[in-house]
Amino acid sequence: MRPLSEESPQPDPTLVAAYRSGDQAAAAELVRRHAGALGRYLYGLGAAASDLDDLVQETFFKAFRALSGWRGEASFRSWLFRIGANLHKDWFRKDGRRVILPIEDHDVPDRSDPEGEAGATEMARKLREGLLRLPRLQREVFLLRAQQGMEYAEICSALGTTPGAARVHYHHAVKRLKEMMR
Amino acid sequence: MNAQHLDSDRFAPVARGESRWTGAEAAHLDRCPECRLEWRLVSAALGLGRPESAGIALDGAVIQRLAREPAQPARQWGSRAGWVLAAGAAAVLALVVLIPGREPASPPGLTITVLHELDDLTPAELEAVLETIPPAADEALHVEAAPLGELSVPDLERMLRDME
Repeated sequence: MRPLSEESPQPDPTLVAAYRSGDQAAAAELVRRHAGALGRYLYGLGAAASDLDDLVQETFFKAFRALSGWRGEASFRSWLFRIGANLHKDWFRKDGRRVILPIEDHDVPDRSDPEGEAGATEMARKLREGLLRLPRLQREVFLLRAQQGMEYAEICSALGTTPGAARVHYHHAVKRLKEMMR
Repeated sequence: MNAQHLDSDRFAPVARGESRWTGAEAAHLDRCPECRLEWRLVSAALGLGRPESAGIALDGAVIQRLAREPAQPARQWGSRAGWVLAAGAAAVLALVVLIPGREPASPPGLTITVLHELDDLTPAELEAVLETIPPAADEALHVEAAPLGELSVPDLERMLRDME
C-alpha cells in the first residue's frame, strides 16, 4: 500500500484498510476528514457545544475499535454518523443531560440567503429548537439530508431504514419545521 | 417542481452549491413565501453548528487514546466447535474432580479426555469456559453441596449407588 500523500487524497476504504494494517496516519486522516461534519451533526441533534469534543473523540474511538464490524456496505461516513448518533443518545440518557439551547450569535448560515442575513440568527435559533421537538428519526434524516447533503441511499444505511422511509421522514420534518418557523 | 411548490429534494443540493435553480425555479422562489421559508430553513440547517465544530482537531487525541487503550485481544477460540468442545471438556472435568469420595483416577466406565487446548488459556478465558458448563453439571454440584441430613433414605441410597 502506498504511503499517504496530500496530493492524492485516498478514499475512506483505503484509509480504513491502511489503519487496519497498522498505519496510524490513516486513522488521523480519517479523523481530520470527518470530525468537523460529525461535530456539526451531533450539535444539530442537540449536543451541547461544550460536549462536542468529547462526543466526537468517543465516536471515533468506538469506530476504530469496531472497524471489523464495518463491511463497507455503507459508507464509512454514514457508519460513523450512526455510531455518533447512538453514542449521543446513550450519553444523553445516561447522564440525564438536557440541552438548554444557547443562542449562538455565530450560529448562522454561511450561504447567501434570498431573504438576506437579517433574520438568520433568529432562524438558526428556531431551527435548533424545532429540531429538538421532532421525533428522533425525523431529526436525524433532516440533518443528514439538509446539513450533511447525504443522498437517501446513504441516509438509509446510516439509520438502518429504507430510502422510501427516509424520504417520508424528511418531508415530514420539513413540514413540521416550517410550521414551527412561521 | 410540482404544480404548487418547488420539489423539496432540490433545496439541499442547491444550498450546498451542488446544483443550481433553473430559471423557472428561481422565478417561483421569488413569488412563493412557502418555498422561501423552506429555502431559509435548509440554508440555516447547512450552517448549523459550523463554528462549534470548526475547531475540532482531535486526530492526535484519538490516536493517542487508541495507543493507550489497546484493543481486547482476539479470542483464540474462533470457531463454535472449539467452544462446544471446551465446554464439554470442562463439564467432564468438573464432574470428575468435584464429586467427593472419588479418586482422581478414572472411575470405571469414565474416560478422561485431556484437552491440551485448555493449557494455553488465560484465567479469564478458563472462567469463560467454565461458565458454559451445562446445567447437568451444576445440578450435580448442587446435590453434592446439600446437607446429607436433608436427603430422604431413598435419595441417600440412590446417591450411594451412583457413587459405586
